[in-house]
Amino acid sequence: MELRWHSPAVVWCMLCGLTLLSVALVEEGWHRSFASVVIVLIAAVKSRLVIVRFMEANRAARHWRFLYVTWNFAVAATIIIGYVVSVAKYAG
Amino acid sequence: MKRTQDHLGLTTAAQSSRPPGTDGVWTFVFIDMIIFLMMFLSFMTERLRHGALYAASQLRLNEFFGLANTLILLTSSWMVVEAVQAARRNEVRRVRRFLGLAWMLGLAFAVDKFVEYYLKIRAGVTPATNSFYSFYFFITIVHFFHVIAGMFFIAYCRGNARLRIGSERYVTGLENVGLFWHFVDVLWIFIFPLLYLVGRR
Repeated sequence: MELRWHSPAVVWCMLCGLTLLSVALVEEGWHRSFASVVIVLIAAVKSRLVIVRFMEANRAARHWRFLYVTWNFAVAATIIIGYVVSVAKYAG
Repeated sequence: MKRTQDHLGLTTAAQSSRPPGTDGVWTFVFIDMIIFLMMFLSFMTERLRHGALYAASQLRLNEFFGLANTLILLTSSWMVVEAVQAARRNEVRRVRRFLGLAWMLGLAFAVDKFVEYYLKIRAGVTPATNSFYSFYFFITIVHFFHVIAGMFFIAYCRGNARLRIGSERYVTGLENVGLFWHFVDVLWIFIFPLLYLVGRR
């Protein structure tokens, strides 16, 4: 079986690797605020991979791809902004 | 790739170039995604008001349950992708095998979740404990119902594979089930860091 970078098996390996990296950032005691933002960004990358490669949004009508990728951005922004504001609030 | 079809709707080409799934399912999934976005927004708003409580409550969650469930769902998503591709090539045995594996992984997710809920409730943690746990139970239980629905659809497609493989309608139906299952996976990709990881010390 030919393995290309966008084949399902390779995408799955990337998704698992990114998941383990997220947990490692917490377990290895990175700076909490920095690690939290990076973890959400990693989740956004993983989600985009699933939307584009597994759901095949790249083959769907253009508006679906736009809406799904925008949703992905909105969720990541909601979590990051909420977290950063709470850190700033309790640090102050 | 050129695709031909007879009067029974049987697809003879290996793969069609039409968009995956139907507009109805893309719409349904998107509306569901917006509902979850609202839940995440509510959670982050409450987190702003009770930062210390949320940080302390989060520490009582075992992130390895969440990690296991993430890896389980990612793998099951991969199995569903393989099943859809096999259906486009009319390979009934591969379709049944991959859908069977995806269903088993869904069951593994359910068992993991039940063990986690059991341990929490045995430790005296319930949705009434505080607002963090209200969100924790609400978000994960609503997501869990989606997993159960997805498992039902997967089992239905697997059961019909022998009879209906080769028809374009079956492939489109399986693509729709795949869309739903990947959506369940995408939700968990965000639920895991939201509840278990972000802000954890």
